Amino acid sequence: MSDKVMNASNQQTDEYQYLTFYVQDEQFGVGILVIKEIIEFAIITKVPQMNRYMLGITNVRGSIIPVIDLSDRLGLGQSDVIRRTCVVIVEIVEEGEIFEIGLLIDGVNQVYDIYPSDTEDAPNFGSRIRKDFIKFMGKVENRFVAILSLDRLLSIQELSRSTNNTNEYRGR
Amino acid sequence: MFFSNDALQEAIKEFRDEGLDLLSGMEEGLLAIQEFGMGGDRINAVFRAAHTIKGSAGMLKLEHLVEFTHIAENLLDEIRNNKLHINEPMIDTFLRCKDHMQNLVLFYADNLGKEPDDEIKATSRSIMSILKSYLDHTVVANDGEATLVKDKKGWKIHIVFNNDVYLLGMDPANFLRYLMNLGEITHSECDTNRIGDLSNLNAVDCFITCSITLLTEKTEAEILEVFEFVRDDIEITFTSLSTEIQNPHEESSSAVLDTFVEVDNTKELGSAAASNNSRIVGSSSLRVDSDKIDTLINLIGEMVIANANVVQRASIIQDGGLNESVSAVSRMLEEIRESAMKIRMVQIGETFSKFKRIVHDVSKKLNKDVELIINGGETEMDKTIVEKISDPLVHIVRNAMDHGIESIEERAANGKNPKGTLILNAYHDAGTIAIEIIDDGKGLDEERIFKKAVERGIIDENSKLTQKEIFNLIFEAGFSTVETITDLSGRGVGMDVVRRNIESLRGNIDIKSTKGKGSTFTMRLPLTLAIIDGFLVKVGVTHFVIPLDMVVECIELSTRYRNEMHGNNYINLRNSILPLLKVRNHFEEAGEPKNLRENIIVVRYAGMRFGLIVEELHGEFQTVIKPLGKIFREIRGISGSTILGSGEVALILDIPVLMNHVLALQAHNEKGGADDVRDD
Repeated sequence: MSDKVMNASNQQTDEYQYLTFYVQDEQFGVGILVIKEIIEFAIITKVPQMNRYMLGITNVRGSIIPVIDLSDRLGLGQSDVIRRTCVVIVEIVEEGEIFEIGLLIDGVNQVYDIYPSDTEDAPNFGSRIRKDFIKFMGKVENRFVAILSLDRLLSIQELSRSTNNTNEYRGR
Repeated sequence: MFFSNDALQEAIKEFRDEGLDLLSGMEEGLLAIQEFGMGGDRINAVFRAAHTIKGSAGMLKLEHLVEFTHIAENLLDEIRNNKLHINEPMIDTFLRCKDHMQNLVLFYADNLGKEPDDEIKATSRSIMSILKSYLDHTVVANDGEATLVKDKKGWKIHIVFNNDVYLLGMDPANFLRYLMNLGEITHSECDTNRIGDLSNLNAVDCFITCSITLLTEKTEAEILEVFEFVRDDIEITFTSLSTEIQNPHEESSSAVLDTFVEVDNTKELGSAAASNNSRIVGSSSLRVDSDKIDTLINLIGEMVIANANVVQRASIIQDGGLNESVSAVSRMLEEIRESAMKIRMVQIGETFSKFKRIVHDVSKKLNKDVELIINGGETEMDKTIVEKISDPLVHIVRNAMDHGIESIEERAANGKNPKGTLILNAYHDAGTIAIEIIDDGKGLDEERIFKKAVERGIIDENSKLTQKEIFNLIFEAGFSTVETITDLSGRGVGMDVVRRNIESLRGNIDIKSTKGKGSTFTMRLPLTLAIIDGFLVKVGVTHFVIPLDMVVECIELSTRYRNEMHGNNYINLRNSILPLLKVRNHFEEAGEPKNLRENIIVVRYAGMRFGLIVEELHGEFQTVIKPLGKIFREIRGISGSTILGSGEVALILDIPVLMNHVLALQAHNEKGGADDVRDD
């Protein structure tokens, strides 16, 4: 088998690999191709006038990375920082630009291969989180894990909405 | 092929950069001639620019450009030799000529290996015919064309092409062929001694050595220009035949050049020598890709952050020797940072002098008489900023000439000097650059602006606005006070773009105007976009950085001040009112301050002052600005972030925005809270 074919097949398996992690005792997953790195919980500087789930910004080797509380963003309530808390940094392309954003989670689990044959559409009701946040349900070890749709979850349009409106600039 | 494709591309790029420089010099020279007359070296500078462009174009076989420039050059030569007197229409023609040459240069640079289309050629022809009509005049004035032959001289040129000329992608044959364009070759011979033993011959080496006798009116330096691209790879010797002075310089070409700078004093050679002289001066500056500088500056920024960390750790260890070394490194790093920033700094004068032409053209078009005065052209600022303010400046200047300065008749009728004045002023002010555009025209008409804004639905007719607020209406989108749209300004798309451009650079723009007397537009811009000196403070758990240049003083918010406030948001500071903004409340910092000691940082911006109430003071801090990114684009009052020595992130306060907020609050209070306060 030539190198070229090998690479292509690696690429293919990567495509079906998903990192699973815990948020409020529930497991979620994202495709590993978008994950840049996983870092320990670091000091996060709060940025004012933002939604509560936007925790602020942190310094990753000289780059400023925004961090969101994934639990809060999913509507599952604010996270507490625990021993296993960490930040998954993902790289996404939006509005024609690459940008990095950190997701605060309650600890990583492991990477699973999930092939299209083992997936199901997100349920129409009964899920605790917004349906459009779920890309599909993946079957691992006879359980279903929600694979998150980062496009919707991390849409700049939504994340950038600040709590600041003209009231801010009227007299207090 | 003359050049390999890459070499050609490289050469064309160089030609383009050099050409544009020369053309702007040419324009400057022409405008100076118009303003101050022929004196000094002005006409020579213009001639040299045209001449050098023609020379380089010839090298690159840009035939049409050569043909076009040739005519202009001839005419300039006539003027230079006092055979023709330059006049106003001629200068206009030359300016058109310069514009067209610029178009041609850009065309060749963008369309490698192509000749211009018919449309461009038609423009060339129309300008050339005007130039020719001037030229015909000279001939009549000088009794025939005898002048042309008179200056011909014989040169014996001995050229040795080095072995690697072919390897460099050059073909000696092209250079030699081009010599024929300069004059008549009466004799040529080849020296085959270098070739040596054929069996050991390296086939890709060049062994050409030849002697050529050339009859031409060109100077030695001009002939030398033919070999510009291979100058380092040839040995060339000139022997003048007609003057009988044998000049057997066995020196390299550049040494020959230097000799000529010193030796010759005939008019022709004098100017050619000066031209080479200026090129030598020019070569001491270096063209660098701005990406390279950006990378350097980014790296230095990273280093400043890393160093802040080192400083902090060293201060914990408290080792005398270590502290000394650390402070030595810090000091040097600071110097490196400064010199790196200076690479990006350019004088604004270059941008300003562009306005001579604009004012010249626009006043012609509008039939107004306007004098442009430039002050502070030596003020330096970041190149990126200079580039980005160029368009807004053009817009404001055109507006000032179109709407501000009255016609000659109107000015005379109002008892004003018929000649209008437009002043461009640049100076440093509190860590910012201020650029003023001052005209002595009719000023802004408050009533008309107000009426128009109501008509356009920008404001409500019952709005009570201050004069300043009314003036600022002209920056609103879709605002234009002139009914007839001219092709210069007044399309109603512009002033809002101007303001947006300036604000995107963290600057602002302000208008002062007196009816009948004139208007002043003041732009304020940061010195640089990458690093600032900051003052670090802490509120709750968050660090904030205030640009140090805007900090006037720090005072403790003592019980006395606190009692005086009576719940108001101002204090009496040495008999003047100082409005205050409590950072904790403004940014809704969580929790209560653990110690109640608070401090006031007095900041100044655009001639106004206000105080920020903060908790801890941490002192000066060198701040590398990191943009916050798109996610935080809606935030007001924070302009960026920076990384502290501890690795924590601090937020940089946007003082201009906060100041607007404070002013809005104040205005709101003064009006008794009846009206809504505009956002900014």
